[in-house]
Amino acid sequence: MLRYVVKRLILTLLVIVGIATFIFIFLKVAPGDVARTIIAEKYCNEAAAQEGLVIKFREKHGLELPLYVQYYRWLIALIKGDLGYSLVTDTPVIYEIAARLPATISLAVVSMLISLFLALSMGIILAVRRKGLLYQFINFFAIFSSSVPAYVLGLLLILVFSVTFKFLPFVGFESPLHLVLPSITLGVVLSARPLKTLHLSMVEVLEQDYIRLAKAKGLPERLVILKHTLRNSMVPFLSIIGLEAGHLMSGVVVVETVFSWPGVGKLLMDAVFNRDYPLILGCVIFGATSYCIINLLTDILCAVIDPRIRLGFYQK
Amino acid sequence: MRKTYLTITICIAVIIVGVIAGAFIGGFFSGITTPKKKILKIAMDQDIRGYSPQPGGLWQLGSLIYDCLIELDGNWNQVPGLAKSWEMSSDGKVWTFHLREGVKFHDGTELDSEDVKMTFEHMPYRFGNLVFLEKVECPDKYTVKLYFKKPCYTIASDVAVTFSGIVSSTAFKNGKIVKPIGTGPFKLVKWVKGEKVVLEKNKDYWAGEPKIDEIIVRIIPDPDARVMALEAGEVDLIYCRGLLPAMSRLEENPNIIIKSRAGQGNNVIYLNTFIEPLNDTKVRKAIAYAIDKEAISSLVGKYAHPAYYILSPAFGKYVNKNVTLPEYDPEEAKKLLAEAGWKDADRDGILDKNGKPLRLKLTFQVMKLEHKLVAEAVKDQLKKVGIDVTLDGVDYPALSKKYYKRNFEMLLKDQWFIPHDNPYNYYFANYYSKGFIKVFTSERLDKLLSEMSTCVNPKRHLQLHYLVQEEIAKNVPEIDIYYYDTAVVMNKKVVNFIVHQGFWRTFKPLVKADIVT
Repeated sequence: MLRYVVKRLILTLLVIVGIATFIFIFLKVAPGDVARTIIAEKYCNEAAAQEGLVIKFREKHGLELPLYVQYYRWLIALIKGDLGYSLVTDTPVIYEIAARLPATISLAVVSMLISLFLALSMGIILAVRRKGLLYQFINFFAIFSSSVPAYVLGLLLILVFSVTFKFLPFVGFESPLHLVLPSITLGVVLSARPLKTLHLSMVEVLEQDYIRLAKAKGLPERLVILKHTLRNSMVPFLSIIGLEAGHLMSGVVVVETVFSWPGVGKLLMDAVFNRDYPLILGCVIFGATSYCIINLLTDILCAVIDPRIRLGFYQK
Repeated sequence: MRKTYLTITICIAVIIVGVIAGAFIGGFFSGITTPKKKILKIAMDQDIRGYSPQPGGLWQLGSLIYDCLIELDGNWNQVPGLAKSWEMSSDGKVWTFHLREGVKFHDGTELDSEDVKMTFEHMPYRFGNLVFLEKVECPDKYTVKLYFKKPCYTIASDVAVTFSGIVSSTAFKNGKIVKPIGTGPFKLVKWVKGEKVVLEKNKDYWAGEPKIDEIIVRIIPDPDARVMALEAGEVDLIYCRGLLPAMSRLEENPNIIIKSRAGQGNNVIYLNTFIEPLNDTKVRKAIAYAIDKEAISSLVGKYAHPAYYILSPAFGKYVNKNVTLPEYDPEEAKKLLAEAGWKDADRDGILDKNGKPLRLKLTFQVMKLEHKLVAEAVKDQLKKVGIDVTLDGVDYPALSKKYYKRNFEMLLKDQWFIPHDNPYNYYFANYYSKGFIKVFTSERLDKLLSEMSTCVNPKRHLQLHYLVQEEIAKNVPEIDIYYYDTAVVMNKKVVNFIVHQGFWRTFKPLVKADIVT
């Protein structure tokens, strides 16, 4: 087990550096003059026409150097743990990301809980009750949550709960109450895939012989479903949940924009528009790291739940 | 099993009702404890990035934290700001400013000439003719002399730009501004990155204490969310740029007031006069005649007005009203194109000449909804006269690179380079052979602009403006489509807010504004 984890950690590191290199190359190749764009951001449009400022900026940030030299410098800094300074605000990239972490993490956690709750409860009900009013209602919700775009749902909730009935606030993150609308939006939208995955995997498990045996043994229905069926259906469900958790941590730009949520996603989007290389790379590395770590934890959790994985049942 | 499902459903129902009830009760109670302070909530479309008065620092809040030596009132007249009077030497190379006495910065220190010197010496970006600043001298505590390398007539306008706001010397560390210490009507007391900025009134403001005690600036990038925040009462005042399509809905709301006036903003299409077929004046004129500005303006809304001069009427005396741009006349357009040798030989609806079709690329900023509408309308209209337009939607960095490198055929954007009352910088940026972008140049323009760069006679300066505009209009290197108003939308509880003409001083009228409950 330990060897597996260590191997995965090393792989994670390589993946992160690989992704960052990839983005680095694409950024340098994309059209748009970094120096002028950043100067227009820092000062104003007119300033970007002043050659003196542009030349000084290029020298300061080594933009005239050949690509491989820039890459080499950046890689060395990265290994030392230095993510550099934002070209627009001149503050360390780490500070910029750290300032947005509380908002990002709290939204991710609450959205995840709502999504888990919805997916679990509705997935189980769908799998168990094959017909009836409850099934129709929940099926409708499943289709709705998988087809409605987060932007539309978010604006709809704002329109109903903030504008028409002034119950809930929706701008920024000033109080725990501000978490309600954005996390419901994300929770609903993200519950779609886990819900479906759980439903399908439970239906498959319910067909199995050992379930039929459990029922024949006379076990109460609740035990059959919650203990036996659910546990055996967990692996694909957890993998999807892991992917979503990673997605939540690397930034949900659309919801952040609608609710003016000060999260990492919005930071990354603005950085891309400004061609703020160090900040873009910093956010990408942060996102990739979150994804990889969450994936690792999910895999370990799956191995713990399903002895077949742990004992190498699936390997030759 | 049934009982379990029932319990679960009841639990969910209870939680939902509980949250809604809690929110409702919470809202009710917070309404009872009415704040004794007058707090105004406004929204900005992007976060501030630092404390300097330049746009990359405080963005539109610069005019609330800092003042300039010379201020511009709502009608863009120059009025004394931190300087009570000023003179230009007869050769135009020395400008003397006499400072107001007894003006306090936000940290209590008094304004003197050293602060002005420090501000100008450390200004990262110098607007317009301030670029030619050679040295700054302080003969005494309240006098500042600016020495320039060449005669500069426009300095009064250049120091009135909010980018030249005066910063206290105590705010500088290693040449950078680390604290927001200005003389403005409001002090910056808190900045939560990405979320909000809190301003408190400056009780010792030299022009009179503001009535509003506190301003909370919320950062709401999404235009729809900003409008809804206003409707929901989360903010009380927003600036309408980018919101023109939503304005009709706001007009119907009885709790909301829209105040607007003619602004400096102008949408133009630049034509690259150095490439075929746009190097032919007839072709450019034809394009101008083929565009229906009235139709496009009505698409955008009632705050957009069709453009018949090169500059918005907001520029007052600087606009040459005798030079009007072509009105919509597609027949004239077709006639001019035929005269230029363009005929539809293969009858495919697109004109051609020597086997080459008349095909042009229109570059625009894809994220701006208004520009997208305009680009599509233009494409339609030009098709009717036989010009095939391909749309090239790009993001802002790519657009500005294409603009600066003149790597475009037709380019749609706002007019830049004129953040204040005197539009001289616009010509120097776009139409001067020693200038930067060179959309179009000619000997006559060069002669006029060379003279303008050293002319210090007010009458001749104005005359040159008129002559330059005439020359530009004659050659049609740009097509002005519409001017848009400066509009500020607010809750009816905000009173005494008089809209300012310029974009950078959008929030300055808050000095005199008040809230009635």
